[in-house]
Amino acid sequence: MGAKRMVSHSLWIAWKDLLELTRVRMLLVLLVLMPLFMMLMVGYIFPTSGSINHLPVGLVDLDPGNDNSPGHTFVLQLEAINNQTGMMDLSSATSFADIKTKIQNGDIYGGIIIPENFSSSFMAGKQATITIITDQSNPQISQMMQGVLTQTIDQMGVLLAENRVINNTSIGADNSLAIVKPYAVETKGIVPGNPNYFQFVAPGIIAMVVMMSLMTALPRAISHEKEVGTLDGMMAAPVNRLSILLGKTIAQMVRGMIQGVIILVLAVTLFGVTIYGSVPLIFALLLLGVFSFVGLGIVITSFAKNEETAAMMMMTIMFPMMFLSGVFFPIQQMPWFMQDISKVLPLTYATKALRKVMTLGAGIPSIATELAVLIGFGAVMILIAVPVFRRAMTR
Amino acid sequence: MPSIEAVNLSKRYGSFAAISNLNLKIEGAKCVGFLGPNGAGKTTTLKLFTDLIRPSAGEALINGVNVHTDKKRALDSVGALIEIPEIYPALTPREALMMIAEIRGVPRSERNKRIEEAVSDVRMEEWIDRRIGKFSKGMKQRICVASAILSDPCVLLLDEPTTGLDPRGMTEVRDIIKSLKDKRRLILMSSHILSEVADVCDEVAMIDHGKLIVYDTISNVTAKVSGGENVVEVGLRRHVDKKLINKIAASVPSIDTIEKSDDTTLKIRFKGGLDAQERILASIVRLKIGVVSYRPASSALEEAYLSLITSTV
Repeated sequence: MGAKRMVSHSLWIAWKDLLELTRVRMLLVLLVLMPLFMMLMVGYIFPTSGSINHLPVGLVDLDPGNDNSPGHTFVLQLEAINNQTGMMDLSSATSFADIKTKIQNGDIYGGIIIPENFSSSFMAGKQATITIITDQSNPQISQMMQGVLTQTIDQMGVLLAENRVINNTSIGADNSLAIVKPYAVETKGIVPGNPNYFQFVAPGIIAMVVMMSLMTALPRAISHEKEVGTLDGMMAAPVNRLSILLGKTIAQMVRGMIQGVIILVLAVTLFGVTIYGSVPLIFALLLLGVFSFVGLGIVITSFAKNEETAAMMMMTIMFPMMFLSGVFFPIQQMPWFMQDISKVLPLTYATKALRKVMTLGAGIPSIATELAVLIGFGAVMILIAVPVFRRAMTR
Repeated sequence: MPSIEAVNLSKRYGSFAAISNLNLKIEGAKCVGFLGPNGAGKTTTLKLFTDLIRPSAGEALINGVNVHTDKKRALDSVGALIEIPEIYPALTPREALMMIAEIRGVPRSERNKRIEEAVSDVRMEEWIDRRIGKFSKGMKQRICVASAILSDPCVLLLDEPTTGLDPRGMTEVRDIIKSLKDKRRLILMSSHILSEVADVCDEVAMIDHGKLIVYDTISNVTAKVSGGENVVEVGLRRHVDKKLINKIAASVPSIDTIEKSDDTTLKIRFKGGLDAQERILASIVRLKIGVVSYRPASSALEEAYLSLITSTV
């Protein structure tokens, strides 16, 4: 059968599939809603320092000092800073045991203890220690709270130390900070703006949705037609089985790309994501990402006898891939064996490449390795998948 | 001349032989009924002829072309409805048939015309632009028939085309198949409904346990089983009474027995093949008794079937 005729058949089959998609209203709605929900959920459920608001925290002031004591002054300054930031809802607690009980009851998420010797240590020129109690059942919140509180208290300490230097020495206000804090740290990014979690997660979600679209929809599309009986009608016609496969793949690739564009637009317009790299390169990467998954999708199709089996097989592969490919969490944070697994997943490279282009404005030379892996993986999988599919379709 | 040929065709599933060394050649423009009990291998045979499954041995040829080694050439002139055909519910008949026209190689310039003709042949013109999902089962079946005849194939393979339809739907599809006979086609139609085969088909092939039992004209098959005696049913406009029966018996030669089948139908048993059948018809018509139909008795086919097919699988 001529290649031209095969391609023509494929395009008609793709047209038919896409036309069917446009006729099912619920599918069209979900086409938009699914990526929207994913961005919303992923973007907002993971806490960032800016996302912590009115966190209930218990405050234990064991310092016996009067209203002008260092301990009481510290509490007032902390409350003043908190009123500006709104980060915590401070409530009184009596002791460590009281804080422990309240954390166990779920009334608070942490505690601050000002010890008995706070003011006396301060007056004696010694370092006064403040204890932060964390809720170990919620490590992310605890870590966030600990980081912010430590930073706040450190800044308060630096200010206090500066005043001491100015009041007790001949060093003026201009140089006091250099005495208290000789080293200053300045952080700069290679692109403008501050990093946020959406900026990190958006490229991965785009890559994941586009690929998932193909991986879920392709096996399901073919299994569904097998179950309903329309596939037999096509296969009993003078049409190459590969045309059927190619046509359905094209349709699902288009669907996936549409969803990718929707997420991209949502990410930019609603979630403040900035694209620093080339938009055509982003689209090319998405297409390449889809190409890398086509073979895998075809293999699942070949082995799935029905829609339910296809869905289960897809979930078994996609679910771990989502979490091990660096879409939601940096791979560097994972144990070594998970990092090794992530190295063999195409989604890892697609996510990495997209992140480099979108977030860092990288060009083709910087993503050469990722491109090579995606092309290689896709080509090898297709070489395996095509004969497997042919064999599976021949009963 | 269109032809379908199975040459030593076999299909095994493990140790189970679905089709066993089938040799069957059907050629010419005619309608052939493909009969057999459940699990006999009818659908398997039709699937082998449409490359939906591969044979374990032998060949399936359509118009002399091997279906499995040269699928495109073999199936270019074939229309098929296999098992329980379905068609895309989200599309209109026009859209679905447009895609089918493409994959069946209907030239672009003729597509619209062919689609409208096919839809007209199955009497679905007013539904051509409505979504198939809203159709009844009978209507969908008609569209499936339209898809099978779209490329004006010379061979039609129909697998129990009236299964699951209500009586109205069955009649409509049967009438459509009868109308398709007029267009120089070879139609191979499997069915469980013997009266339908007797009504629509010219010849019959019976298969059992994957083996061909008989292939011949209906009258020859019924004659073989009935000891050379054939049975025809004559439908009349008038009521049948003893006087009429006696008149026919006296006037029409070659009749063995004549009996009343129902108020307006006679059952005539005779010896001989198609020539005898023709003579009897001519004689009865000359009597001017209001003959409205004349066909091999479906019950004769049923008797033949039950005699030849001794058990179900």
